[in-house]
Amino acid sequence: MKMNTNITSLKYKIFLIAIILVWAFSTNLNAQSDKTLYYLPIVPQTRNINPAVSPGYRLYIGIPFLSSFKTGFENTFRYDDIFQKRGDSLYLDRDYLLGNLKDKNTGNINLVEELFAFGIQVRKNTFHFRIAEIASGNFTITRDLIRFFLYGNGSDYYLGKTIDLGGNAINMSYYREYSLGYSRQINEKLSLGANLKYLQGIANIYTKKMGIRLTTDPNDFSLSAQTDIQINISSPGIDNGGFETSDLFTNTGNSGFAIDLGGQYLINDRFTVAASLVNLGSISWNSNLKNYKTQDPDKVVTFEGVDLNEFFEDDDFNQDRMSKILDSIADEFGIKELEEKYTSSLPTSLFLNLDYHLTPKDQFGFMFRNQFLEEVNWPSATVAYTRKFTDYLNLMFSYSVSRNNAMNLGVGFAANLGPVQFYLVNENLTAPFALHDATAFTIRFGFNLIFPQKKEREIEIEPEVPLENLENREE
Amino acid sequence: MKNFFTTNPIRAYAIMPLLMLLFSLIFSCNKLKDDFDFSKLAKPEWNPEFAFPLVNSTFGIGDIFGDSTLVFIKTNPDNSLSLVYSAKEIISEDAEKIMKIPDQGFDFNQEIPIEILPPPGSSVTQDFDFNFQLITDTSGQRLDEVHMKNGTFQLSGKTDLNRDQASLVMTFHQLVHITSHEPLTLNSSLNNPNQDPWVTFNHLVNLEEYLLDFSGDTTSNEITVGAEFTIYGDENPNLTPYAFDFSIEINDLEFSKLFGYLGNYKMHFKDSININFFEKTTFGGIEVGPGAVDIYITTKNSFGTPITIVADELYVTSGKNSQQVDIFLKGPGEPNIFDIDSPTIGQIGETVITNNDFSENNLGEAFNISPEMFYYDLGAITNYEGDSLDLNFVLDSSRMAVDVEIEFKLFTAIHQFVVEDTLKFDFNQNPDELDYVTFRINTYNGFPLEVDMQLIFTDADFNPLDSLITEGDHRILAAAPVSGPPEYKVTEPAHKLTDITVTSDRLGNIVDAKKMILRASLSTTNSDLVRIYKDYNMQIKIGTLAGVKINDN
Repeated sequence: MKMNTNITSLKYKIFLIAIILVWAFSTNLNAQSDKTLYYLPIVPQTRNINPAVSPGYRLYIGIPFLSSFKTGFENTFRYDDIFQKRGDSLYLDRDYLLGNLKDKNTGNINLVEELFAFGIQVRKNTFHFRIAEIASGNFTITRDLIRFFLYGNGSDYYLGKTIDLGGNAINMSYYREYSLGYSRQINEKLSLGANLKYLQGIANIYTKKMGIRLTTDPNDFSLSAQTDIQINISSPGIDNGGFETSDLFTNTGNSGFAIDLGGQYLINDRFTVAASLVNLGSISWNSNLKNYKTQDPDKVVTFEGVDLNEFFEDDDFNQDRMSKILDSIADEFGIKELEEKYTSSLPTSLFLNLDYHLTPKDQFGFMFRNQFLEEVNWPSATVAYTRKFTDYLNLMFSYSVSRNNAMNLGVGFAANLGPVQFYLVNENLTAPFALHDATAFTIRFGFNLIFPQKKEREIEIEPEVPLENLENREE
Repeated sequence: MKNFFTTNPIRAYAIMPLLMLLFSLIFSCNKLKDDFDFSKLAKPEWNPEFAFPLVNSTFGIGDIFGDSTLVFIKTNPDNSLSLVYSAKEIISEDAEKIMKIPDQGFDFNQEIPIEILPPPGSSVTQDFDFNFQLITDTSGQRLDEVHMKNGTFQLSGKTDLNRDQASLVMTFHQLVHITSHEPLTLNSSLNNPNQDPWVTFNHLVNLEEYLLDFSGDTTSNEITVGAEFTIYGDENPNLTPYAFDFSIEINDLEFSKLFGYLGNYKMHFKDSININFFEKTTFGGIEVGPGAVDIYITTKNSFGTPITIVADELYVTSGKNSQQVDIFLKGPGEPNIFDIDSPTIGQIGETVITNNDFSENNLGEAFNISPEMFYYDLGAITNYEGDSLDLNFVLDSSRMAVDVEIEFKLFTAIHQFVVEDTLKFDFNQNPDELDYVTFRINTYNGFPLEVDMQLIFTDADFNPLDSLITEGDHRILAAAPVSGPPEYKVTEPAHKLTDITVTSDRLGNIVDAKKMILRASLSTTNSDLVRIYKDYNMQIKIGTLAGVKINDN
């Protein structure tokens, strides 16, 4: 797939804004972090949730580009909260939309494409390596901001009033992860593990501060604003409004590190507990930078227009001069465009697990997960049942609940067909049938080549044969 | 046949959820197309409205008239303003190019009777007198002294005197050497030992060391010549009377100073002044207050003669209505004739400046035709009513300069004075994105002037496409109230708020336009007399309120 166009500066900005808005409003692209993959223990990728976990293969190799693909979303709102379907048409009714939104609406997106992975076990030690493309995004958008765009500052709703457009935030990153993992069976009960990750940052937009108070004068439409903005952007082509596809691979100026830590403890034959901290780290953005920063956050600036002569060149009206005027408005409001390095943190997740082994083949599990975001925490809880038909076939059912999402029935399976493993997880079973009504949906699938330990290879047992029949067979 | 599925029936049941999962994937992809088909998005019944300030400008009087080279804005002692229009100073030629003593020549023929010749060894002298009048380039000119810096005086002649030895001394009494103060005397030898038929003589004198001094002479410009023959006795026969012919040539005479009565010379000073105040007027004139218009004529003169200015032409024209009005400097019907100052004999070599302020002129009355050009042709005449007994002087470098200014004190009453200007227009935005645009114009007018305005958008051939204001009030500026006489000064600014809405169907016309014609009708407060002061200004704020269309593409 080739995406190789030189995009004009204006369209590039529109592209960025569109990405933000599409991700904000399209339920198709929101994603949630893994919750239920943990309950398919034969899948090597479970160690991305807890690095102490290892399926015990002698060797596994993820099929390049197909070993793990995950996409999904989790929002506090639905597509149906935005659009109404009447007959054959879609309607965007702003009062309807605003009535369905909360004061603060959050969203979480995640897209992971594992390029390559493998793991090898040597006695009690397991070593893992993977390369993955990760696009991760978290946003908070207030109802006030949406109302502002739907009504406009020139509407009767806003004229003469002070609007507080703060409380919005975005942290979106696209980076490449190079992970080196190690896990060790300490003893019969305890295993520990860690993943060390080098992060190659490719693009990021990160709002450290987004305070805006705006007043539009009803008499002359002059704008008074008090801002406390700090928006950091790093992206290839940010200076010339265009980028080449190769920029996505050669952009090595932004480095970061992260660590995953995990542990698993077998309390007894029935209970197992586990805990892990995933994506504790950050990326330093040092290249292709643009920052927008308010110089004096306490200052209220009023913009009343520009000199009439600015619109004329040699006594002729020239509207091309308007773009230059708009460029100067940012200066009027004291927002400076800078090129300063900055650091963004990864969204760190904490997983706490309690598993109950009813039988060797039946396992129940409870997971608490919290994702630490800059503005909010995103907790969730999952209960799951895993049926191990064999060591090579797991079937899992789950139920998850999180902020604004109470009905997430999930299902997943993993099957080892010879050396080829295929797995598929859907964390919201009903969502595909009614995406417009879903606030969360995650799907993940992949193909691995697995090579079990020789001692663990199962000998296929034929159905029991009665003794009397056995004697006949011997004969 | 045993296979993966048959050897473990449970596997077969497990396949069911797998198929469900796969099915859900496929189904969701198909559902996506139906659920998220944004081409079915209906046009909303609402439009967001965005307000934005566009213009915030303050204009003073200098901004209105710009950096024009045609007009100067003058602040009067009471802080009121005047517009001063002036032409470039016109300088005459130097006096030496105006006043000339022409090249001239004189011929004399005289018989010399010598009744009794002197005996050999003795001599006899015989005198004759001649005179001639120096020709000048103007009649009635009386030269008292002419100091020369260049010129030649040539005397040539012949005689048939047959004496072995004879001489001639000619004295030119008015040609005086500037150092010795002696008159020019030329000695000529008339010796004719060979009894040639004629004896000739020739003299060339450079006149730069001489002056012509006619003082004391009762006859104007006359040069008297005394000729004295000296004849020595010899044996030659007496052929009396003898002929004596001579000629005088005076050429290339240039003076450095001239004294006397110089007569009439006329210098022309002709030019025009562009009154750009009315440049963009299409209709109407203005009424000026009493004494609001002054015409200043400033002269710089180094001619030592009385000079009188006589205006051959003085009028204004209006190109708009092809009218012409004659201007009288001293009031209607009064001739445009006036004297200027000249240097006295004690100021020889100096330049004397005369400032003439013609406040009684009728130019203010002519403003009701919106005159754009002021034409003048001023003749400067020396000794206009001159007395020939007067003493004048000029140097070769004497000259005269004339400077004409019109001062228009901004003290006027205007009623529906229409001005128009055409601007190129380039606005290539896509109008489909806008439902309407409202321009909110706030004016805070510190001028005592109200303005009704219209903007007409045309194509490149000036065919009208649309106009900005199609309904409601055209008044953009309200006139500020003024106090009464004598100050007629604004007491406080006037605020006016005007909303002009352009809907989407009209926006297309505006986008297509290539030219914009601004037409404004101006009136003073209550159409009464007002003064314009230096501290007047006007603030214009334009904000825009745009209804944005939500399109499905």
